[in-house]
Amino acid sequence: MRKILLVEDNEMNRDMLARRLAKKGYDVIIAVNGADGVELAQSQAPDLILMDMSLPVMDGWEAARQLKASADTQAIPVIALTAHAMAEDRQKALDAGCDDYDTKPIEIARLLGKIQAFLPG
Amino acid sequence: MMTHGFYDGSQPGLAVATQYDPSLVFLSIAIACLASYAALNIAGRIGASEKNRSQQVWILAGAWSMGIGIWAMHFIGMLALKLPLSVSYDLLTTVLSTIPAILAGAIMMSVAVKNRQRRRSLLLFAGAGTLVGAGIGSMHYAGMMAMHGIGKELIMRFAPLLFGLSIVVAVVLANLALYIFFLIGREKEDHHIWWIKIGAAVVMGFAISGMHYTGMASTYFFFGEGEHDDGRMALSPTSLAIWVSLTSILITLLAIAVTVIDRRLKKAADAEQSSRAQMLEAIESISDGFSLYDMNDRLAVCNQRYRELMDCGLGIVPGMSFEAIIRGAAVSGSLLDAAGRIDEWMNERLARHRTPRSHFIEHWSGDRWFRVSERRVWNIGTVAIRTDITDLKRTEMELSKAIEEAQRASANAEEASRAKSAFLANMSHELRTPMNAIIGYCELLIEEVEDAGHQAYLPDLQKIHTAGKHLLSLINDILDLSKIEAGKMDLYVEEFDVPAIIEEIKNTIQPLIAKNANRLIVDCPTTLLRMQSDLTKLRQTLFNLLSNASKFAKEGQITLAVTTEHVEGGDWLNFLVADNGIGMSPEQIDKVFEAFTQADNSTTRKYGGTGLGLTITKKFCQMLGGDISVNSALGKGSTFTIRLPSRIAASKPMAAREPSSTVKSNKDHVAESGINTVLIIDDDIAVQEVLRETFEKAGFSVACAASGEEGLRLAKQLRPAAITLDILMPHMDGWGVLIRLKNDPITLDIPVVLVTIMDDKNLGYSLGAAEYMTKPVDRQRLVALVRKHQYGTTDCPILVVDDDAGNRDVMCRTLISAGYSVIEAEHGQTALTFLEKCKPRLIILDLMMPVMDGFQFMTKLREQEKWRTLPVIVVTAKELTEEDRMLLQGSVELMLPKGAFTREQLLQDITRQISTQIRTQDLIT
Repeated sequence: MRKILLVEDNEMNRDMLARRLAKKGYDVIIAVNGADGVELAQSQAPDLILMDMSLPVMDGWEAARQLKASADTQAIPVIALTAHAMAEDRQKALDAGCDDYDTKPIEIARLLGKIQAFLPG
Repeated sequence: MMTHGFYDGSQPGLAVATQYDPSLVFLSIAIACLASYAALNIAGRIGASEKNRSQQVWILAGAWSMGIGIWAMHFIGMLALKLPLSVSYDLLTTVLSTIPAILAGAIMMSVAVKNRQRRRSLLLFAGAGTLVGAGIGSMHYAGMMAMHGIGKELIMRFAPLLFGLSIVVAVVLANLALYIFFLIGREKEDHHIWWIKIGAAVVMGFAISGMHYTGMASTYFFFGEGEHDDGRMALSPTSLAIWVSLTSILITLLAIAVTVIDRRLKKAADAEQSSRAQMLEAIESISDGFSLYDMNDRLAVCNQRYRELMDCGLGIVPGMSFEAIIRGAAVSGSLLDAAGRIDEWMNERLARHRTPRSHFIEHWSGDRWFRVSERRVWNIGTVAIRTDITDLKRTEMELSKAIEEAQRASANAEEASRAKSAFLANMSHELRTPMNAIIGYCELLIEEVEDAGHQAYLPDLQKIHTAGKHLLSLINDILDLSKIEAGKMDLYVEEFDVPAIIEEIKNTIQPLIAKNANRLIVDCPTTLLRMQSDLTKLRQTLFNLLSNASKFAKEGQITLAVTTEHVEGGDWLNFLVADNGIGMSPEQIDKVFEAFTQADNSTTRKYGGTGLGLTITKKFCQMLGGDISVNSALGKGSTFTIRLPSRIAASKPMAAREPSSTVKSNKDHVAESGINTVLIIDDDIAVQEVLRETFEKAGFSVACAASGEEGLRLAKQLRPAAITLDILMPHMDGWGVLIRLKNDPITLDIPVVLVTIMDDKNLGYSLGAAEYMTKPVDRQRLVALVRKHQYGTTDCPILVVDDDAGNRDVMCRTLISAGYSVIEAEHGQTALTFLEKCKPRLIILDLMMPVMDGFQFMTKLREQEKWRTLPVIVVTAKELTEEDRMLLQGSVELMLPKGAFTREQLLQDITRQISTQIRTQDLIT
């Protein structure tokens, strides 16, 4: 079973997305801020990370940078979830090392497509 | 025995009896008076001439004429005396006797000068009169010494009493004459002075002659024994008479000359005086403050206005220094500019005064403002004019205050608008997070309900989902619009392949299209077509249009067509989204791109949507450097056309409609006969009829050919503006016709629009077709395409002059949709400015406009040779009077009342005017 790390601070969105991904057959682990996310990524070695960008303690951009700077985690694909549908935020996410992005509100089909692109089969 | 002495009774014998020639006596008195007059007149002059040297000359001249006059009087008196003895006159004594007389004259003149200088005193008077009298007496008795008898000695004895009296007469009358003369100084009126002068001259004349004859009366003549002959030069009475006569004439002439000169000088002085008075009066009367400072910066002339302004209690009089006057004003606090920094200000002011530049402004107490212009005039001094500009200044200040307030208000409004947009953007973001959860949970529930088989719950859940989606799209639109308005919408430019994107859109939109049982026809070149733009925005734009189309059409056909266009400066892409749905009325078209307005309020209820979609679409198109236009008719459907540059200019979105004015047609030469003709080559008579009607409506004349051969013949003969060509025809098909048309130099330039059911664009374009359209034909688009290729209409735009932005916009859109390019001007002045740059094909003119109205514009336009033949169509809401019509008659081609013509009529008129214009030009050239 593919393991996805979901880093999201908003409880409802986190819960909703975690359940929907679980329904699609993914093993979902949860982090509520960027620092937690980095820690879990190292200890749990997920197959993919979905990362909100506006996070407490450590924001998503910084977390992405740290993930991509560490030899243990740099191979894990990171999909940034940005609520700001602005070009600069997307660019910022890609600059921070994210492999792809999707905008909130989540369209589950689109997001699944992106996930599947990284996790075929 | 002494020849001269006082009579004491010891005289020898009897005194000789004496007689006088009365006429000579009269003459002598007259000469005395004349000489006095001349001398006094000269004395009167002395004051007028200021310089010392010329004063001395005048004193000498006066003294001389007076002295010689006394002398001449004496000797005429002597010639009048008849003695029984011949006499002679000793030359030396005769000449020397002039000395006391001239001295007397000199004294008189000096006193006269003193009198002029108002330094007289009674003592001076008495002394002078006495000295003059003494001088006259001395001359007389010296003159008497010169007379000698011939043959016999002539002895003279003077009776002491009469001798004394003669001196008294001279002194008293001389005093009196001087006194009278001094009265002149007190008199103001001219003719009084005249009489006083004559009076004084007569009295002085009598002082001289009275002394003489009294002296003669005191004289007793005796004959002595001896003969006087000491060998000295002597004058005979005859030669004396000649000398005296000459002298007298001289004096008379002098008197006349002095009088004449005096008159002249007086006149000149009067004229100068009056012109000076006039000038002073004029200076006095001007409302501006006037001052003239001399070369030493002392006040020479100023007027009352200046005195009022500058007087700070000290009084302003000529001779005051500039510095003193200015300092007075500064210290008194009247000059607000100087307040608190008097010394510094004084230095600046004096420096400015020394080298005046342009004018400057002074601020005075009482909030008065003056503009001061100072000029330094060489050898005269500094002239300054102070103009009261208080009113002007107040108006100016009020105006600038108003402008400032307006700017502040506008800045506030802008700030408020930005704040509102920022707030909306934030709020929208905040709203999206819970919406995300609502929709997400809803989808989750739907899946779970489906899995669990609780079908009964599904419809309600679907409704929640739909409502949630709708709410989210509303929020998204508001977010987009507020971001655009807040200037926060960024472009994310990337390069992409257009057919691929169109394919993607086609797939995504398919479910929406299918909802209303519509059919989507996509017409896009399959060749590699790259575009550099903001893909997301382009996608959103096309999505908007397609979802609108699928909303407003039912069981209809929706077309998405992409065409390319090469113009100077770059390639353009046209994205056309057409439906055959409910369409829009002209009023609805007018408002379709405005925010928060849907075509109809009921639309929202019936079809949903925020009413922001098209507003956002238009803004996106403009951000991408292009624009969107619409063509629609109620019940017939709508066609939206997006025109975008294939490569967006880096960070600089072009203004709307700008691109169309740069469009350049590849056709320059058009045959005269077919300039307005379209040739339709189609074997299907029904198609011919439809197209004929379409083109005729748009103002073209139409020729039809049912076969390729006939088409070729007509094309050569008519040389039409454009040809529409069917492909599938018997005998010679469209490809064959096209190849022949493009190989014949006569028809080579005629644009060919392929109108066919066959979809082989590439072959068409490679064979030289200008446009390719698949049947069924969008007729308006066909007309627009033809128009685009018609004698380069787009090269020379149509100038629309109208102050009402709404009217202008409708007119421009109408013209643009018909394939014309358009330039707008909001009044005659801007239109003229534009004309200087580029000559339009036609001018559509409103009459009632600010700044420069239509009438003034026409006058200006027709004044210029180069613009005289420009066709002008007046479109006005003004009720035209007979006078208006007369004014415009012959100057404009057509007058149309606003709102009283249809779009088709207008286009027909425009086409007709343009083709007439071209025909005229062709005839000229």
